[in-house]
Amino acid sequence: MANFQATKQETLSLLKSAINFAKASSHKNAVKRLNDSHQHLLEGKLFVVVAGEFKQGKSSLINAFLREPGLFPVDVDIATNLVSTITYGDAEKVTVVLGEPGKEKRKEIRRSDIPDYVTEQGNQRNSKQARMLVMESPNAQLKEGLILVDTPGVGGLNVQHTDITYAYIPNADSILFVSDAHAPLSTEELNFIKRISQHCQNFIFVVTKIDAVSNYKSIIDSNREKLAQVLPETGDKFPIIPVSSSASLAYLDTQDPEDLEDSNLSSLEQELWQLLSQQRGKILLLRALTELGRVVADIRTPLQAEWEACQQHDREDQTKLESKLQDTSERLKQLQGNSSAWQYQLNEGIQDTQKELFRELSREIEQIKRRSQDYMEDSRFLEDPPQIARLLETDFDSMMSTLSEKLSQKAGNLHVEIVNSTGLNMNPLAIDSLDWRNLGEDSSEVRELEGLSQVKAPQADWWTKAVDMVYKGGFKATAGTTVGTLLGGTLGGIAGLLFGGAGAVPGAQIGMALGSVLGGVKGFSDGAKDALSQIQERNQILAKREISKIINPYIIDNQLLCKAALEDMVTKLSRTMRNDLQQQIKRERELCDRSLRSFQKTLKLSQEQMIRKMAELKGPLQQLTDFQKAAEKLAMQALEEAESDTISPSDPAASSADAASSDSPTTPQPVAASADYGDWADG
Amino acid sequence: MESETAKLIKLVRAMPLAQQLIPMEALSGWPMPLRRGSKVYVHLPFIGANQTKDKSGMALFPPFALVTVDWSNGLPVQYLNLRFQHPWPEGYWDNQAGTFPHPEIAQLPKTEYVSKCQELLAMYDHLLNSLVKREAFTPEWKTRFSESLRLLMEPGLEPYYRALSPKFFQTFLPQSS
Repeated sequence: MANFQATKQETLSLLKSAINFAKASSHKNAVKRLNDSHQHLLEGKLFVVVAGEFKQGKSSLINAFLREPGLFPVDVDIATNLVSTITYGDAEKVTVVLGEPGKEKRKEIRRSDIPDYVTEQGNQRNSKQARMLVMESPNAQLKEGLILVDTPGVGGLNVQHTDITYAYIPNADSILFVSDAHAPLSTEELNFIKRISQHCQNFIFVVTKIDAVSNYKSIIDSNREKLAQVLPETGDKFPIIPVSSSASLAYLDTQDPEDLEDSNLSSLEQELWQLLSQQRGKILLLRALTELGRVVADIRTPLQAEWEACQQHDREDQTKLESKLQDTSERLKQLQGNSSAWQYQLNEGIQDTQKELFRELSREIEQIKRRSQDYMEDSRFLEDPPQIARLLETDFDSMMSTLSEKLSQKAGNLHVEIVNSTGLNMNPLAIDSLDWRNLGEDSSEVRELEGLSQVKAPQADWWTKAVDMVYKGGFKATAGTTVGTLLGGTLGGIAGLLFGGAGAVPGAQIGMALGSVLGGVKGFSDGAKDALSQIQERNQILAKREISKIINPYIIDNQLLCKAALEDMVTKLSRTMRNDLQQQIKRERELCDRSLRSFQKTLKLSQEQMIRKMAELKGPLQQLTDFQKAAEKLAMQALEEAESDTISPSDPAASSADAASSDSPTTPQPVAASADYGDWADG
Repeated sequence: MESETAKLIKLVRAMPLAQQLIPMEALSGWPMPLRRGSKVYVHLPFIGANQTKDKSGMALFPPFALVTVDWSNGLPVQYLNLRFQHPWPEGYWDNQAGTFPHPEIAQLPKTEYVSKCQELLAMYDHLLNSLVKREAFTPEWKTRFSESLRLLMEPGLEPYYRALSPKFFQTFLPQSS
């Protein structure tokens, strides 16, 4: 993609023109749909998580990136366990979320008060019960929908910090992993990277403080070598960007271009936008453009029918076209029926998905049980038993995030399969006649009729790709999910409101359900933590026995909660998908019937009336064709990056190809979901 | 480069435990993995062996001992005298179970046989390390491992191996029930 920001602006402007056209021609429903699309694209969020160890310069990097020195406090001791998010807003607004889980309250504070909540000095041991800091800022760097998430550091045994960071990872669109140039990546950092790479592989590694050391290049070489070992699937393709935040901030004072160049921040920005454009940004654009295509087609089709009726076709051609429209309407009527094949396809697909996820849930729970035993063997945790509940809470969070992501992907794939098999995926931008509504039938005869547009590709590859990408990406959980992951249902809802809705409904539903279950897990964990903190037993064997009495029921409670939540997610998702498809079929049928009526009505006109009608139609049809062409051009632009992308490590096709071609017996290979994880060795 | 599994077998043989309880002429069999929680262990069987009368090879007898070691540190966690307790109905300890080398490998040049053994032991490294990390095995890798194990495992000892680690052998050398 040439430039996400530019393509987004062009798309927004095209949507505005289409809205004006729809308003002028009194298409109220089209105006509403286009306005929704415009709003979704405008609000579409791109999650960038900034992670890394303590004191590596994460906050300085964000300040430099936003060109706002002092926005987040730096040069302080370890920050509290507080995640800070910053996103675009018309005016600066800082909100801190405080209180116990389930009883959170929002409090607006001033920017100068931030250190009172996010630093250890201002908020020792988080005595203020701050849970999250949400900032809105009219900062130009955020205007295209970036949400920067500043996480506490990872590593050490500070479980509280680490699990909060983990919770944000699964839905990140990109992870900026920050380390400084003083030392190569540590084993703990590499372990963290390896673990989170299971959820998100869109890494950019940032090496900060390059102004402070002379040999930062050797540190980068060392990091690259180590990362190649923990991320073998990516080869050495991951970007490592050296930056100097202080040079960048100095530039704001001095305006000396050398400072800016020294900072190398522009390379980081370029890399970040490229990555986002290839991922979520592309989906946001394609979602808007495919909806625009559908709305334009809905306006255009009846007009096109009238146009066709005015052409000097013989009676036989007219009858053929009429009967095609009638057949299509009949087929759509059948698709609306409860016994239609796609309904079975959906039911079976959902049942298969549910079975698969439940199997995986059982397997994961077994692993959590085993891990709980390991935690109880560890003398460090026996001395501080609440840590065990925290670790298990992270395990459950991570499991449910992974399962919900799998559910999203499977639902997206199923949706695409259904629209393909029913023919609902036809490309409305490519209509040159009415044949696109034939739902898979050979329409060559109809296509011979003279049409207005010169576009002659009824089912272009790019359209299929765009629809695939939109649905498969569209079912992914959204901003609310990530926040929900961390904070549970109630607070997830609050933060969801703060961020505004930007995603597809199914994704949001998964998000809500996930937020709710994780809220429940957190509730159980808090109970377990309280109980575990009462254990004073010094004898480790006796302590272990006491801990088991608390941990075993805790695991069972969570198991039941997670299973019920998963069932709930699947049920809701299934209902939403069914409604979505039914609505789509209903819309198509109404459109087909409307077009048929227009066609029949126009056929009754006199020759003179037909000439006048054609003159009336020509302008609007031409304008709609222009919208179609512009939308197609922008969609191709959004897709072209995908064509030239190197194979993504997360691409399942690439993974299996790699696996098949590998000669090395000792290299672990990525494998499919039904893979053998060596359960046969368990005893 | 010597595989970790080969090193582990040497380590076990050098342990005072093995020196006390396992005759020098006994052969070590192919390892069998076991995972409990996050720990992976290796069952190492020991097989009675005598030179055959015609001195063409070694007469093999049923496994008589099983040493289990922790894969992460090589420490023994169990010694099992199979003559005392065994997972097969009767122990015909004096009946020859097979001959080394068995016909499939007898035809191989020694260097090729050694190289195939090293290759299988290296694959055991991957097997055991993957079990630790709970990483999945690709079908291609499993096929290569199965082929290698099938070639090198003494057919006469197969029933004993299967009795000692049924799931492992059913996974890699499946038998229709």
